[in-house]
Amino acid sequence: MPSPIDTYRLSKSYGRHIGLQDVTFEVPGGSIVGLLGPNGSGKTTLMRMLMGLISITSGRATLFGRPVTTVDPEVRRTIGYLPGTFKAYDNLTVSRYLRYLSDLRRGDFTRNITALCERFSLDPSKSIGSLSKGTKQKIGLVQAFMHEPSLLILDEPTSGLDPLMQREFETLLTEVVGDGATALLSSHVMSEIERTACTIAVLDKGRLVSVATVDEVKRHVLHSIDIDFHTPPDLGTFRNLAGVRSAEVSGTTLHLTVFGEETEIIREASRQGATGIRTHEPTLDDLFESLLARTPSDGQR
Amino acid sequence: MNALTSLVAKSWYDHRRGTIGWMVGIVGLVILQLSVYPSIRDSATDWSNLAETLPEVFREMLRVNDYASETGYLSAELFSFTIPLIFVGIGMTWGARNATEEEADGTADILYSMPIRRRSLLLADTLSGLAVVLTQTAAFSVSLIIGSRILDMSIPLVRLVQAPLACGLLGAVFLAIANVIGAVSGKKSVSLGVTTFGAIALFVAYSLAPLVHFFDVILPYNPFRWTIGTTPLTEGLDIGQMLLCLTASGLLLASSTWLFERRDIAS
Repeated sequence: MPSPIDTYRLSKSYGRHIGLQDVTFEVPGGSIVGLLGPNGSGKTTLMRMLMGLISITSGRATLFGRPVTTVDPEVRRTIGYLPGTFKAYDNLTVSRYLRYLSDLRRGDFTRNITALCERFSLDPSKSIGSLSKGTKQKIGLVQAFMHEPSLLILDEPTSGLDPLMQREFETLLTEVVGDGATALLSSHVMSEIERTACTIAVLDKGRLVSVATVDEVKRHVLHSIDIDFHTPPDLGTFRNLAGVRSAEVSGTTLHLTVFGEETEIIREASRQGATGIRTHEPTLDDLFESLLARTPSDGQR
Repeated sequence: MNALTSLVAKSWYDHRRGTIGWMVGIVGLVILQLSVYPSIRDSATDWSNLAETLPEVFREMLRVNDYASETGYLSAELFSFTIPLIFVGIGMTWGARNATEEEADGTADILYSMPIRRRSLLLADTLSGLAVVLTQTAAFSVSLIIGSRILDMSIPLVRLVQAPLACGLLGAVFLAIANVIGAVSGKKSVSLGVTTFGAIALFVAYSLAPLVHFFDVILPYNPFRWTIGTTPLTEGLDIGQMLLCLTASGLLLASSTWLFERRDIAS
Protein backbone atom coordinates (compact mmCIF):
# COMPACT_ATOMS: atom_id res chain seq x y z
CA MET A 1 0.00 0.00 0.00
CA PRO A 2 1.62 3.31 -1.07
CA SER A 3 2.20 5.96 1.57
CA PRO A 4 -0.37 8.76 1.80
CA ILE A 5 2.43 11.28 1.29
CA ASP A 6 5.83 10.56 -0.20
CA THR A 7 8.20 13.23 -1.45
CA TYR A 8 11.66 12.93 -2.96
CA ARG A 9 13.97 15.94 -3.26
CA LEU A 10 10.93 18.14 -3.67
CA SER A 11 11.93 21.68 -4.59
CA LYS A 12 10.21 24.91 -5.46
CA SER A 13 11.88 28.07 -6.58
CA TYR A 14 10.52 31.42 -7.67
CA GLY A 15 13.29 32.83 -9.82
CA ARG A 16 16.21 33.23 -7.44
CA HIS A 17 14.12 32.78 -4.33
CA ILE A 18 13.97 29.24 -3.00
CA GLY A 19 10.65 28.23 -1.46
CA LEU A 20 11.52 24.62 -0.79
CA GLN A 21 14.71 22.65 -1.36
CA ASP A 22 15.26 18.91 -1.62
CA VAL A 23 12.55 17.90 0.82
CA THR A 24 12.39 14.14 1.14
CA PHE A 25 9.99 12.63 3.61
CA GLU A 26 7.20 10.11 3.96
CA VAL A 27 4.02 10.20 5.97
CA PRO A 28 2.96 6.68 6.89
CA GLY A 29 -0.71 5.72 6.82
CA GLY A 30 -2.69 6.23 10.02
CA SER A 31 -0.30 8.78 11.46
CA ILE A 32 -0.39 12.47 12.29
CA VAL A 33 2.66 14.41 11.26
CA GLY A 34 3.12 17.91 12.60
CA LEU A 35 4.90 20.38 10.39
CA LEU A 36 6.77 23.02 12.32
CA GLY A 37 8.86 25.93 11.19
CA PRO A 38 9.20 29.67 11.48
CA ASN A 39 7.36 32.00 9.12
CA GLY A 40 8.65 31.63 5.57
CA SER A 41 10.19 28.22 6.27
CA GLY A 42 8.20 26.56 3.47
CA LYS A 43 5.34 24.85 5.35
CA THR A 44 2.59 26.45 3.30
CA THR A 45 4.58 26.04 0.09
CA LEU A 46 4.93 22.31 0.79
CA MET A 47 1.22 21.90 1.51
CA ARG A 48 0.14 23.91 -1.53
CA MET A 49 2.47 21.86 -3.73
CA LEU A 50 0.93 18.65 -2.39
CA MET A 51 -2.50 20.04 -3.26
CA GLY A 52 -1.42 20.81 -6.82
CA LEU A 53 -1.99 24.53 -6.34
CA ILE A 54 1.58 25.35 -7.28
CA SER A 55 3.85 23.44 -9.60
CA ILE A 56 6.86 21.37 -8.60
CA THR A 57 10.16 22.87 -9.79
CA SER A 58 12.10 19.62 -9.32
CA GLY A 59 11.82 16.34 -7.45
CA ARG A 60 8.58 14.47 -7.04
CA ALA A 61 5.66 14.05 -4.72
CA THR A 62 3.06 11.31 -4.61
CA LEU A 63 -0.17 11.02 -2.68
CA PHE A 64 -1.22 7.39 -2.23
CA GLY A 65 1.28 6.54 -4.98
CA ARG A 66 -0.23 8.96 -7.48
CA PRO A 67 2.03 11.76 -8.73
CA VAL A 68 1.02 15.26 -7.71
CA THR A 69 0.59 17.72 -10.58
CA THR A 70 -1.36 20.91 -11.08
CA VAL A 71 -3.37 19.15 -13.77
CA ASP A 72 -4.60 15.87 -12.25
CA PRO A 73 -7.51 16.41 -9.86
CA GLU A 74 -8.29 12.76 -9.07
CA VAL A 75 -5.62 12.56 -6.41
CA ARG A 76 -7.52 15.23 -4.46
CA ARG A 77 -10.75 13.25 -4.24
CA THR A 78 -9.92 11.67 -0.89
CA ILE A 79 -8.11 14.65 0.61
CA GLY A 80 -9.42 17.18 3.06
CA TYR A 81 -7.53 20.46 2.82
CA LEU A 82 -7.59 23.59 4.90
CA PRO A 83 -5.42 26.45 3.63
CA GLY A 84 -3.47 28.70 5.95
CA THR A 85 -5.77 31.60 5.22
CA PHE A 86 -9.24 30.17 4.81
CA LYS A 87 -11.76 32.35 3.02
CA ALA A 88 -15.27 31.41 1.95
CA TYR A 89 -17.82 33.30 -0.10
CA ASP A 90 -19.28 36.04 2.09
CA ASN A 91 -22.47 36.25 0.01
CA LEU A 92 -23.49 32.65 0.79
CA THR A 93 -24.88 31.04 3.91
CA VAL A 94 -22.83 28.34 5.63
CA SER A 95 -25.14 25.56 4.43
CA ARG A 96 -25.23 26.84 0.86
CA TYR A 97 -21.43 27.07 0.77
CA LEU A 98 -21.01 23.54 2.10
CA ARG A 99 -23.65 22.24 -0.32
CA TYR A 100 -21.78 23.95 -3.16
CA LEU A 101 -18.53 22.22 -2.17
CA SER A 102 -20.41 18.92 -1.85
CA ASP A 103 -21.63 19.36 -5.44
CA LEU A 104 -18.06 19.98 -6.57
CA ARG A 105 -17.03 16.79 -4.76
CA ARG A 106 -19.96 15.04 -6.44
CA GLY A 107 -21.41 13.71 -3.20
CA ASP A 108 -24.10 14.23 -0.62
CA PHE A 109 -22.48 14.81 2.76
CA THR A 110 -25.52 16.35 4.47
CA ARG A 111 -25.38 13.98 7.45
CA ASN A 112 -21.69 14.61 8.09
CA ILE A 113 -22.13 18.36 7.61
CA THR A 114 -24.96 18.46 10.15
CA ALA A 115 -22.94 16.43 12.67
CA LEU A 116 -19.80 18.55 12.20
CA CYS A 117 -21.73 21.83 12.44
CA GLU A 118 -23.27 20.66 15.71
CA ARG A 119 -19.89 19.58 16.97
CA PHE A 120 -18.33 22.97 16.25
CA SER A 121 -21.44 24.90 17.35
CA LEU A 122 -21.82 26.32 13.85
CA ASP A 123 -25.17 27.70 12.71
CA PRO A 124 -25.54 26.64 9.04
CA SER A 125 -28.25 29.19 8.34
CA LYS A 126 -25.95 32.16 9.01
CA SER A 127 -24.54 34.27 6.24
CA ILE A 128 -20.77 33.76 6.03
CA GLY A 129 -20.16 37.49 5.70
CA SER A 130 -21.63 38.07 9.16
CA LEU A 131 -19.36 35.59 10.94
CA SER A 132 -16.21 36.19 12.99
CA LYS A 133 -12.78 34.94 11.91
CA GLY A 134 -12.91 32.04 14.36
CA THR A 135 -16.36 30.95 13.19
CA LYS A 136 -15.24 31.10 9.56
CA GLN A 137 -12.32 28.86 10.52
CA LYS A 138 -14.87 26.32 11.78
CA ILE A 139 -16.42 26.29 8.29
CA GLY A 140 -12.96 25.56 6.94
CA LEU A 141 -12.66 22.61 9.29
CA VAL A 142 -16.13 21.29 8.41
CA GLN A 143 -15.39 21.38 4.66
CA ALA A 144 -12.07 19.62 5.24
CA PHE A 145 -13.64 16.77 7.22
CA MET A 146 -17.14 16.49 5.67
CA HIS A 147 -16.30 13.90 2.99
CA GLU A 148 -14.46 11.57 5.38
CA PRO A 149 -11.09 12.03 3.68
CA SER A 150 -8.30 9.46 3.88
CA LEU A 151 -5.73 12.23 4.10
CA LEU A 152 -5.99 15.60 5.78
CA ILE A 153 -3.65 18.44 4.91
CA LEU A 154 -4.31 21.22 7.38
CA ASP A 155 -2.37 24.47 7.45
CA GLU A 156 -2.68 26.14 10.87
CA PRO A 157 -6.05 24.47 11.52
CA THR A 158 -6.72 25.99 14.94
CA SER A 159 -5.89 29.55 13.96
CA GLY A 160 -8.57 31.83 15.41
CA LEU A 161 -10.35 29.06 17.35
CA ASP A 162 -11.08 29.44 21.06
CA PRO A 163 -9.47 26.88 23.43
CA LEU A 164 -12.67 24.84 23.67
CA MET A 165 -12.92 24.50 19.89
CA GLN A 166 -9.20 23.77 19.65
CA ARG A 167 -9.75 20.80 21.96
CA GLU A 168 -12.77 19.73 19.90
CA PHE A 169 -10.64 19.83 16.78
CA GLU A 170 -7.92 17.75 18.42
CA THR A 171 -10.49 15.19 19.54
CA LEU A 172 -11.98 15.01 16.04
CA LEU A 173 -8.56 14.63 14.47
CA THR A 174 -7.62 11.85 16.86
CA GLU A 175 -10.92 10.10 16.09
CA VAL A 176 -10.57 10.21 12.30
CA VAL A 177 -6.95 9.10 12.47
CA GLY A 178 -8.08 6.33 14.80
CA ASP A 179 -10.46 5.28 12.01
CA GLY A 180 -7.57 5.00 9.56
CA ALA A 181 -7.07 8.51 8.15
CA THR A 182 -3.69 10.23 7.94
CA ALA A 183 -2.97 13.87 8.69
CA LEU A 184 -0.30 16.43 7.97
CA LEU A 185 -0.81 19.60 9.93
CA SER A 186 1.21 22.70 10.46
CA SER A 187 1.11 24.77 13.58
CA HIS A 188 2.88 27.45 15.51
CA VAL A 189 1.63 25.94 18.75
CA MET A 190 4.08 23.36 20.06
CA SER A 191 1.64 22.01 22.65
CA GLU A 192 -1.00 21.39 19.96
CA ILE A 193 1.42 19.39 17.85
CA GLU A 194 2.59 17.57 20.95
CA ARG A 195 -0.96 16.57 21.89
CA THR A 196 -1.95 15.29 18.45
CA ALA A 197 1.07 14.38 16.31
CA CYS A 198 3.16 11.24 16.43
CA THR A 199 5.95 12.71 14.34
CA ILE A 200 7.28 16.23 13.95
CA ALA A 201 8.88 17.46 10.73
CA VAL A 202 10.77 20.72 11.05
CA LEU A 203 11.35 23.03 8.14
CA ASP A 204 13.73 25.97 8.09
CA LYS A 205 14.49 28.19 5.11
CA GLY A 206 12.88 25.70 2.76
CA ARG A 207 14.87 22.72 4.02
CA LEU A 208 13.71 19.83 6.13
CA VAL A 209 15.98 19.92 9.15
CA SER A 210 14.47 17.16 11.22
CA VAL A 211 11.89 14.39 11.19
CA ALA A 212 11.49 12.75 14.57
CA THR A 213 8.91 11.47 17.02
CA VAL A 214 7.56 13.94 19.55
CA ASP A 215 9.44 12.17 22.37
CA GLU A 216 12.70 12.25 20.45
CA VAL A 217 12.27 15.93 19.74
CA LYS A 218 11.47 16.74 23.35
CA ARG A 219 14.49 14.84 24.51
CA HIS A 220 16.67 17.04 22.40
CA VAL A 221 15.16 20.39 23.12
CA LEU A 222 16.72 22.89 25.47
CA HIS A 223 14.31 23.70 28.26
CA SER A 224 14.45 25.27 31.66
CA ILE A 225 13.71 23.84 35.10
CA ASP A 226 13.30 25.72 38.38
CA ILE A 227 13.87 23.74 41.59
CA ASP A 228 13.03 25.10 45.05
CA PHE A 229 15.02 24.09 48.15
CA HIS A 230 14.88 24.98 51.87
CA THR A 231 18.53 26.07 51.71
CA PRO A 232 20.77 27.06 48.75
CA PRO A 233 21.67 23.86 46.82
CA ASP A 234 25.13 22.59 45.85
CA LEU A 235 25.51 24.23 42.44
CA GLY A 236 28.65 22.32 41.42
CA THR A 237 26.92 18.94 41.60
CA PHE A 238 24.13 20.10 39.29
CA ARG A 239 26.57 21.71 36.85
CA ASN A 240 28.32 18.36 36.43
CA LEU A 241 25.17 16.40 35.64
CA ALA A 242 24.69 15.16 32.06
CA GLY A 243 22.48 17.43 29.98
CA VAL A 244 22.80 20.52 32.16
CA ARG A 245 23.86 23.46 30.01
CA SER A 246 23.68 26.17 32.65
CA ALA A 247 22.89 26.42 36.34
CA GLU A 248 22.26 29.47 38.53
CA VAL A 249 20.99 29.99 42.03
CA SER A 250 18.87 32.86 43.22
CA GLY A 251 18.07 32.56 46.91
CA THR A 252 16.98 29.01 47.47
CA THR A 253 15.81 28.44 43.89
CA LEU A 254 17.97 26.69 41.32
CA HIS A 255 17.47 27.66 37.64
CA LEU A 256 18.70 25.05 35.16
CA THR A 257 18.85 24.97 31.36
CA VAL A 258 18.69 21.36 30.33
CA PHE A 259 19.16 19.42 27.14
CA GLY A 260 17.63 15.93 27.01
CA GLU A 261 16.70 13.63 29.90
CA GLU A 262 15.86 15.04 33.33
CA THR A 263 15.98 11.82 35.37
CA GLU A 264 19.44 12.43 36.90
CA ILE A 265 18.55 16.00 37.77
CA ILE A 266 15.37 15.03 39.55
CA ARG A 267 17.21 12.30 41.46
CA GLU A 268 19.89 14.79 42.62
CA ALA A 269 17.28 17.42 43.47
CA SER A 270 15.47 14.87 45.60
CA ARG A 271 18.73 13.87 47.30
CA GLN A 272 19.40 17.53 48.20
CA GLY A 273 15.88 17.91 49.63
CA ALA A 274 14.03 19.81 46.86
CA THR A 275 10.60 21.15 47.87
CA GLY A 276 9.25 21.81 44.36
CA ILE A 277 10.11 21.43 40.70
CA ARG A 278 8.72 23.53 37.82
CA THR A 279 9.51 22.45 34.26
CA HIS A 280 8.92 25.13 31.63
CA GLU A 281 7.46 23.96 28.31
CA PRO A 282 9.95 24.45 25.52
CA THR A 283 8.81 27.15 23.16
CA LEU A 284 8.98 26.85 19.40
CA ASP A 285 12.04 29.10 19.56
CA ASP A 286 13.70 26.65 21.96
CA LEU A 287 12.85 23.81 19.59
CA PHE A 288 14.26 25.53 16.51
CA GLU A 289 17.33 26.67 18.41
CA SER A 290 18.02 23.13 19.57
CA LEU A 291 17.32 21.48 16.24
CA LEU A 292 19.27 23.98 14.20
CA ALA A 293 22.15 23.79 16.66
CA ARG A 294 22.54 20.08 15.97
CA THR A 295 21.87 20.30 12.23
CA PRO A 296 24.85 20.51 9.88
CA SER A 297 25.03 23.85 8.12
CA ASP A 298 24.48 22.28 4.72
CA GLY A 299 21.08 21.14 5.88
CA GLN A 300 21.83 17.41 5.68
CA ARG A 301 19.70 15.32 7.96
CA MET B 1 -26.90 19.39 -8.69
CA ASN B 2 -23.87 18.22 -10.65
CA ALA B 3 -20.54 20.04 -10.46
CA LEU B 4 -20.80 21.92 -13.76
CA THR B 5 -24.37 23.08 -13.15
CA SER B 6 -23.45 24.16 -9.67
CA LEU B 7 -20.46 26.17 -10.91
CA VAL B 8 -22.47 27.88 -13.66
CA ALA B 9 -25.36 28.60 -11.29
CA LYS B 10 -23.03 30.18 -8.72
CA SER B 11 -21.30 32.24 -11.37
CA TRP B 12 -24.66 33.60 -12.55
CA TYR B 13 -25.86 34.17 -9.00
CA ASP B 14 -22.70 36.11 -8.10
CA HIS B 15 -22.96 38.39 -11.10
CA ARG B 16 -26.73 38.69 -11.45
CA ARG B 17 -26.80 42.41 -10.65
CA GLY B 18 -24.15 43.24 -13.26
CA THR B 19 -25.98 41.13 -15.84
CA ILE B 20 -29.25 42.90 -15.17
CA GLY B 21 -27.48 46.27 -15.26
CA TRP B 22 -25.94 45.61 -18.69
CA MET B 23 -29.31 44.42 -19.98
CA VAL B 24 -31.12 47.53 -18.73
CA GLY B 25 -28.41 49.64 -20.38
CA ILE B 26 -28.72 47.93 -23.76
CA VAL B 27 -32.52 47.95 -23.82
CA GLY B 28 -32.57 51.55 -22.60
CA LEU B 29 -30.21 52.62 -25.35
CA VAL B 30 -32.34 50.89 -27.99
CA ILE B 31 -35.48 52.60 -26.67
CA LEU B 32 -33.72 55.98 -26.60
CA GLN B 33 -32.35 55.69 -30.13
CA LEU B 34 -35.58 54.32 -31.60
CA SER B 35 -37.63 57.06 -29.94
CA VAL B 36 -35.59 59.64 -31.83
CA TYR B 37 -35.90 57.91 -35.20
CA PRO B 38 -39.35 59.28 -36.23
CA SER B 39 -37.99 62.86 -36.21
CA ILE B 40 -34.92 61.75 -38.22
CA ARG B 41 -37.20 59.99 -40.72
CA ASP B 42 -39.32 63.10 -41.03
CA SER B 43 -36.30 65.19 -41.96
CA ALA B 44 -34.66 62.61 -44.24
CA THR B 45 -33.82 65.12 -46.97
CA ASP B 46 -31.96 67.44 -44.60
CA TRP B 47 -29.89 64.54 -43.25
CA SER B 48 -29.07 63.34 -46.77
CA ASN B 49 -27.93 66.82 -47.71
CA LEU B 50 -25.82 67.06 -44.58
CA ALA B 51 -24.22 63.66 -45.20
CA GLU B 52 -23.40 64.63 -48.75
CA THR B 53 -21.36 67.58 -47.50
CA LEU B 54 -18.95 65.10 -45.87
CA PRO B 55 -16.18 63.48 -47.90
CA GLU B 56 -16.98 59.90 -48.92
CA VAL B 57 -14.23 58.51 -46.73
CA PHE B 58 -15.69 60.22 -43.63
CA ARG B 59 -19.18 59.03 -44.48
CA GLU B 60 -17.81 55.52 -44.63
CA MET B 61 -15.77 55.92 -41.48
CA LEU B 62 -18.67 57.36 -39.50
CA ARG B 63 -21.13 54.90 -41.11
CA VAL B 64 -23.51 57.76 -41.96
CA ASN B 65 -24.20 56.74 -45.55
CA ASP B 66 -27.90 56.82 -46.02
CA TYR B 67 -28.30 58.02 -42.39
CA ALA B 68 -32.01 58.73 -42.50
CA SER B 69 -32.99 55.29 -43.78
CA GLU B 70 -34.05 52.66 -41.26
CA THR B 71 -30.93 50.49 -41.62
CA GLY B 72 -28.68 53.51 -42.08
CA TYR B 73 -29.92 55.09 -38.86
CA LEU B 74 -29.68 51.91 -36.77
CA SER B 75 -26.25 51.09 -38.24
CA ALA B 76 -24.92 54.54 -37.39
CA GLU B 77 -26.49 54.92 -33.96
CA LEU B 78 -26.44 51.39 -32.58
CA PHE B 79 -24.17 49.12 -34.62
CA SER B 80 -21.26 51.39 -35.51
CA PHE B 81 -19.74 51.61 -32.01
CA THR B 82 -22.15 52.11 -29.07
CA ILE B 83 -23.63 48.63 -28.71
CA PRO B 84 -20.60 46.75 -30.12
CA LEU B 85 -18.39 48.44 -27.51
CA ILE B 86 -20.89 47.55 -24.79
CA PHE B 87 -20.63 43.91 -25.88
CA VAL B 88 -16.83 44.20 -25.89
CA GLY B 89 -17.12 45.53 -22.33
CA ILE B 90 -19.38 42.68 -21.22
CA GLY B 91 -17.10 40.03 -22.75
CA MET B 92 -13.96 41.66 -21.44
CA THR B 93 -15.08 42.10 -17.84
CA TRP B 94 -16.40 38.55 -17.67
CA GLY B 95 -13.30 37.06 -19.33
CA ALA B 96 -10.92 39.08 -17.14
CA ARG B 97 -12.37 37.68 -13.92
CA ASN B 98 -12.71 34.05 -15.04
CA ALA B 99 -9.20 32.93 -14.17
CA THR B 100 -8.43 35.63 -11.62
CA GLU B 101 -11.37 36.44 -9.38
CA GLU B 102 -11.07 33.53 -6.96
CA GLU B 103 -7.41 34.35 -6.30
CA ALA B 104 -8.16 38.03 -5.76
CA ASP B 105 -10.94 37.08 -3.31
CA GLY B 106 -8.72 34.57 -1.46
CA THR B 107 -11.11 31.70 -2.16
CA ALA B 108 -8.97 29.98 -4.81
CA ASP B 109 -7.15 27.50 -2.55
CA ILE B 110 -10.37 25.74 -1.60
CA LEU B 111 -11.93 25.83 -5.07
CA TYR B 112 -8.82 24.56 -6.86
CA SER B 113 -8.25 21.85 -4.27
CA MET B 114 -11.54 20.24 -5.26
CA PRO B 115 -11.35 17.06 -7.38
CA ILE B 116 -12.15 18.98 -10.57
CA ARG B 117 -9.73 19.96 -13.30
CA ARG B 118 -8.99 23.65 -13.46
CA ARG B 119 -9.90 23.36 -17.12
CA SER B 120 -13.46 22.44 -16.17
CA LEU B 121 -13.66 25.30 -13.68
CA LEU B 122 -12.53 27.79 -16.31
CA LEU B 123 -14.86 26.27 -18.90
CA ALA B 124 -17.79 26.58 -16.51
CA ASP B 125 -17.02 30.26 -15.95
CA THR B 126 -16.57 30.80 -19.68
CA LEU B 127 -19.87 29.07 -20.42
CA SER B 128 -21.56 31.33 -17.87
CA GLY B 129 -20.00 34.34 -19.57
CA LEU B 130 -21.07 33.19 -23.01
CA ALA B 131 -24.57 32.57 -21.71
CA VAL B 132 -24.63 36.13 -20.35
CA VAL B 133 -23.46 37.47 -23.73
CA LEU B 134 -26.15 35.41 -25.43
CA THR B 135 -28.78 36.71 -23.01
CA GLN B 136 -27.76 40.29 -23.74
CA THR B 137 -27.84 39.49 -27.45
CA ALA B 138 -31.36 38.16 -27.09
CA ALA B 139 -32.44 41.22 -25.07
CA PHE B 140 -30.93 43.50 -27.71
CA SER B 141 -32.59 41.59 -30.51
CA VAL B 142 -36.01 41.42 -28.86
CA SER B 143 -35.99 45.12 -28.00
CA LEU B 144 -35.02 45.95 -31.60
CA ILE B 145 -37.76 43.73 -33.02
CA ILE B 146 -40.44 45.18 -30.75
CA GLY B 147 -39.26 48.77 -31.29
CA SER B 148 -38.99 48.44 -35.06
CA ARG B 149 -42.47 46.94 -35.26
CA ILE B 150 -43.91 49.76 -33.14
CA LEU B 151 -42.28 52.27 -35.53
CA ASP B 152 -43.44 50.35 -38.60
CA MET B 153 -39.90 49.74 -39.81
CA SER B 154 -39.56 47.35 -42.70
CA ILE B 155 -36.24 45.71 -41.70
CA PRO B 156 -36.60 41.93 -42.03
CA LEU B 157 -36.89 40.14 -38.70
CA VAL B 158 -33.98 37.83 -39.53
CA ARG B 159 -31.66 40.85 -39.87
CA LEU B 160 -32.74 42.07 -36.43
CA VAL B 161 -31.58 38.72 -35.07
CA GLN B 162 -28.38 38.47 -37.13
CA ALA B 163 -27.06 41.96 -36.41
CA PRO B 164 -27.25 41.61 -32.59
CA LEU B 165 -25.70 38.16 -33.00
CA ALA B 166 -22.69 39.79 -34.67
CA CYS B 167 -22.35 42.04 -31.61
CA GLY B 168 -22.62 38.97 -29.37
CA LEU B 169 -19.84 37.26 -31.34
CA LEU B 170 -17.68 40.32 -30.88
CA GLY B 171 -18.27 40.09 -27.12
CA ALA B 172 -17.32 36.40 -27.20
CA VAL B 173 -14.00 37.13 -28.93
CA PHE B 174 -13.03 39.71 -26.32
CA LEU B 175 -14.15 37.38 -23.55
CA ALA B 176 -11.72 34.80 -24.95
CA ILE B 177 -8.89 37.36 -25.25
CA ALA B 178 -9.38 38.53 -21.65
CA ASN B 179 -9.55 34.87 -20.59
CA VAL B 180 -6.09 34.16 -22.00
CA ILE B 181 -4.49 37.20 -20.40
CA GLY B 182 -6.16 36.40 -17.07
CA ALA B 183 -5.03 32.77 -17.31
CA VAL B 184 -1.42 33.85 -17.84
CA SER B 185 -1.20 36.78 -15.44
CA GLY B 186 -3.63 35.73 -12.71
CA LYS B 187 -4.50 39.39 -12.29
CA LYS B 188 -7.85 40.87 -13.26
CA SER B 189 -6.45 44.40 -13.54
CA VAL B 190 -3.76 43.24 -15.98
CA SER B 191 -6.27 41.31 -18.05
CA LEU B 192 -8.73 44.21 -18.14
CA GLY B 193 -6.03 46.77 -18.87
CA VAL B 194 -4.38 44.84 -21.69
CA THR B 195 -7.69 43.80 -23.27
CA THR B 196 -9.09 47.33 -23.07
CA PHE B 197 -5.98 48.68 -24.75
CA GLY B 198 -6.24 45.95 -27.40
CA ALA B 199 -9.94 46.64 -27.97
CA ILE B 200 -9.39 50.36 -28.38
CA ALA B 201 -6.44 49.80 -30.73
CA LEU B 202 -8.42 47.32 -32.84
CA PHE B 203 -11.45 49.60 -32.93
CA VAL B 204 -9.36 52.60 -34.02
CA ALA B 205 -7.68 50.44 -36.68
CA TYR B 206 -11.09 49.23 -37.87
CA SER B 207 -12.58 52.74 -37.93
CA LEU B 208 -9.61 54.32 -39.71
CA ALA B 209 -9.13 51.50 -42.20
CA PRO B 210 -10.78 53.55 -44.98
CA LEU B 211 -8.21 56.30 -44.32
CA VAL B 212 -5.02 54.48 -43.33
CA HIS B 213 -3.59 51.93 -45.75
CA PHE B 214 -1.84 49.84 -43.05
CA PHE B 215 -5.07 49.47 -41.05
CA ASP B 216 -6.80 48.41 -44.25
CA VAL B 217 -4.13 45.75 -44.86
CA ILE B 218 -4.55 44.25 -41.38
CA LEU B 219 -8.34 44.56 -41.47
CA PRO B 220 -8.88 40.83 -42.26
CA TYR B 221 -7.34 40.03 -38.85
CA ASN B 222 -9.53 42.45 -36.93
CA PRO B 223 -12.44 41.00 -34.87
CA PHE B 224 -14.47 44.18 -35.54
CA ARG B 225 -14.23 43.37 -39.25
CA TRP B 226 -15.28 39.74 -38.68
CA THR B 227 -18.45 40.84 -36.90
CA ILE B 228 -19.94 44.31 -37.29
CA GLY B 229 -17.73 44.97 -40.31
CA THR B 230 -19.82 42.57 -42.36
CA THR B 231 -22.75 45.03 -42.04
CA PRO B 232 -25.09 42.31 -40.77
CA LEU B 233 -28.09 44.63 -40.54
CA THR B 234 -28.19 45.00 -44.32
CA GLU B 235 -26.21 42.02 -45.58
CA GLY B 236 -26.93 39.39 -42.94
CA LEU B 237 -24.24 37.28 -41.28
CA ASP B 238 -21.15 36.39 -43.30
CA ILE B 239 -20.73 32.68 -42.57
CA GLY B 240 -17.01 32.68 -43.44
CA GLN B 241 -16.24 35.60 -41.14
CA MET B 242 -18.44 34.11 -38.45
CA LEU B 243 -16.54 30.80 -38.60
CA LEU B 244 -13.27 32.70 -38.45
CA CYS B 245 -14.53 34.47 -35.36
CA LEU B 246 -15.64 31.21 -33.71
CA THR B 247 -12.34 29.48 -34.58
CA ALA B 248 -10.28 32.33 -33.12
CA SER B 249 -12.39 32.31 -29.95
CA GLY B 250 -12.07 28.53 -29.67
CA LEU B 251 -8.28 28.65 -30.05
CA LEU B 252 -7.99 31.43 -27.49
CA LEU B 253 -10.16 29.48 -25.09
CA ALA B 254 -8.12 26.29 -25.56
CA SER B 255 -4.91 28.26 -24.92
CA SER B 256 -6.31 29.81 -21.78
CA THR B 257 -7.30 26.43 -20.29
CA TRP B 258 -3.87 24.95 -21.09
CA LEU B 259 -2.07 27.93 -19.53
CA PHE B 260 -4.37 28.13 -16.54
CA GLU B 261 -3.86 24.47 -15.64
CA ARG B 262 -0.12 25.00 -15.41
CA ARG B 263 0.06 28.32 -13.63
CA ASP B 264 0.79 28.64 -9.93
CA ILE B 265 -2.25 29.75 -7.99
CA ALA B 266 -1.53 32.81 -5.85
CA SER B 267 -2.44 32.46 -2.20
